[in-house]
Amino acid sequence: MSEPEGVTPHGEAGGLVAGKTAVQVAAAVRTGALRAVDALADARARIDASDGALRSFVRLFEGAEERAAEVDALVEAGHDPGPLAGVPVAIKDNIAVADQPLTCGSRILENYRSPFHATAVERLLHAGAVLVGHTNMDEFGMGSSCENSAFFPTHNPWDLERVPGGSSGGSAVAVSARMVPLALGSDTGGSVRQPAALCGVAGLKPTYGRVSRYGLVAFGSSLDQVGPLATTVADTALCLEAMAGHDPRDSTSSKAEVSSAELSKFVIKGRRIGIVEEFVENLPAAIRDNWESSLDSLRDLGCEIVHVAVPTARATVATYYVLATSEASANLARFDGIRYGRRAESSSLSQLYSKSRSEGFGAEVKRRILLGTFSLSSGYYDAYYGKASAAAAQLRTELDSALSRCDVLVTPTTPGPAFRIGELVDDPVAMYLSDVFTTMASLTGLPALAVPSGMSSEGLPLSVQIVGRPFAEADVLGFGAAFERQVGSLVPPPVEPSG
Amino acid sequence: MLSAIDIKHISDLARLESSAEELQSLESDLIEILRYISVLDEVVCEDSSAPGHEASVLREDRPQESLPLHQFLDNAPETLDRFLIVPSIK
Repeated sequence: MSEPEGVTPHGEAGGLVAGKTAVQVAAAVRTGALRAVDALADARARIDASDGALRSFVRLFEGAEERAAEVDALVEAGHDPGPLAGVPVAIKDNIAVADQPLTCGSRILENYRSPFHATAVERLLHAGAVLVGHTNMDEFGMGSSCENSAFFPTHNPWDLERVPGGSSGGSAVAVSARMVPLALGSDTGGSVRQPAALCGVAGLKPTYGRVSRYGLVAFGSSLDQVGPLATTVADTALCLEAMAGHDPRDSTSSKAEVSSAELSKFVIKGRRIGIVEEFVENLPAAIRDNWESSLDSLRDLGCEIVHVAVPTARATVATYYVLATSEASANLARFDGIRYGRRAESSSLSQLYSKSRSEGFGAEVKRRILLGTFSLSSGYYDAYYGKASAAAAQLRTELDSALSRCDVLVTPTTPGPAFRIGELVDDPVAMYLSDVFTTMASLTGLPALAVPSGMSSEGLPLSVQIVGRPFAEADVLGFGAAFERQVGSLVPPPVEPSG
Repeated sequence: MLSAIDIKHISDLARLESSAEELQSLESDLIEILRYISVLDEVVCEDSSAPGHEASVLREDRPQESLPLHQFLDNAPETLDRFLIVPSIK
C-alpha cells in the first residue's frame, strides 16, 4: 500500500486514517476492520505531528477515548453505530459541545463552558462520530483569514506564511492537513467556502434552514448555517445527511424532507450551468486561467453553459456587510458581563457593560458592531439597513429568475489564492472583498459548495463554487462530485513535522 | 457620502468604550468602509415591498424543561445561592 508523502503508517492493518475519507473510515469501523480508538489515536498522532506549526486546534476534547471505545463496543455487540461510525471530527469553536469550553475565538468567552450540545453535534454523535476538538476561528465568525482569533493565527498547510482563510480556518486546516477527515464550520458570508477554497478542500454551506442553528453562537441569524468541510464532496454529503432536518429548537429550521444525495446516480450530461456575467467581466488575473479550464472541464462533462445577468451581484459585499453587521450588533449585545463571559471590574452597571465588552472584544468585532449599530441608528436606518434589505430581496428575485434558466450557477469561490498573513489585516475593505463571490448565496439562503479546481501558478489551491436552488443540495453535490472526478484530487500538502 | 460620523454616540449605543486614539482610528475605519458601502446607492430597487421573510413560527406557550439552574450558575461571574450578583443601579 503506498502512502501519501509525509504520512507514517500507524497501528494495525487498516489502522491508518490519514489517507482515508470519512466514508471509508465509517465503513471500516462498521465492519470491525478498523477500531474507532485506533482512528482517534491516529488523528491525535497527526495533530501532535503537525499542529505545532499549523495551530488549527484551540482545544482537544476530554473524553474522546471513552466515546471511541463506546463506538467499538457497539460494533463488537453486533450493533451499527451509524453512518459516521468512528469518524474523528473537528468542531469549530462557535459550535457548542456539552461540558467543553466554547470560546468563539474570543477573550470575552474565555471562561465559558457550554452546558449543552448543539443540535448538529448531537446528530453527529448519534451517527457514531468521535469529536476530537474545537478549531480556531476569526472571533465570532468575523473575518476571512483566522487572523482575528484572540488566541493565535492559524497557518495554511500549503504555505505556512499564508492564511488558511476564515472564519472557519482551523476546520479547513484540520481537514486539509489530513489530521481529521471531517470538520464542522459555520458560514455567514463565506466562512466555510472561502477557507475550504484556500486550503484545497470541499466545503458546503447548506440552504438556510437545512441544518439547525441551535448551539451555533449567532453572528447573523438570517445568514448563519453550520456546514461540513472534507477532502471529498461525498464526505460533505455524508455529514450533511447526518445533521440536516427540522429541529423544534430552531424555528428557522426547515421541515423540508432530508434525502440522500445519491451522488452515484447523478447524471451531469446535458445539465445547464449559469455563469453570472457581472462576476466574470473582470476576473482577477490570478484565477483567470483556472476559471477557463474549470469551464472546459464542465463542458467536457457534457454541461451546457448559459450566461445570466444578476445586476445586484455588484452590490453583494456592501449589502452583506450592512445586514450581517446589523444583525451582529444585536446578537452580540448579550455579551455584557452579566450572566456569563468576561466581567470587568467596574464602579457602575453601565461601566460594567462597556468595560467588559471593550476589554473582551477584538478590533474587528468592535468595528463590525459599530458598523451595524450605525446602520440601524436613527437617521441612517432607511438609507443603510432599509436599502440593504431591499437589495437582498432584489438579489433573490434575480437569482430565482437566473436559476429558472439553469440547474446551478458556477462562480469562482474566491478572487485569488491564499494571501499572506498580515497582508490584508489592516485593510478592512480589501479583506471584505474576499467574500465577493460567496455573499450572494448567503444573502439569498441558497445552497453553495466550494470544490477544489486545481492550483494557481504559485502552487496554491483554487476553487469553484456551485450554487443551487433552495434545498437542491442533491444537485449541488452531484455537480460537485462530477467536477471533482473530472478535475482529479489535489495531492495533499506536505506535512512538516513540528517540534 | 459621509465625511464624519458621531463615533462617540454610536459607541455609546453599542456599549463600547475606547480611548480617544482608538475612537479616531475606529471612525476613520468606519468612514472608509461606509465609502465602499455607498455602492448600495447605485442599486435600483424595483420592488418597494419588504423583503420576503416568512411569518414567525410559533409554538404553544407550554412550560418545558430548560437548563438546570446549577448549570446556568456555573457560568455566572458572581453568584449567591440561586442568585446572580450584579451592580446595583444607582
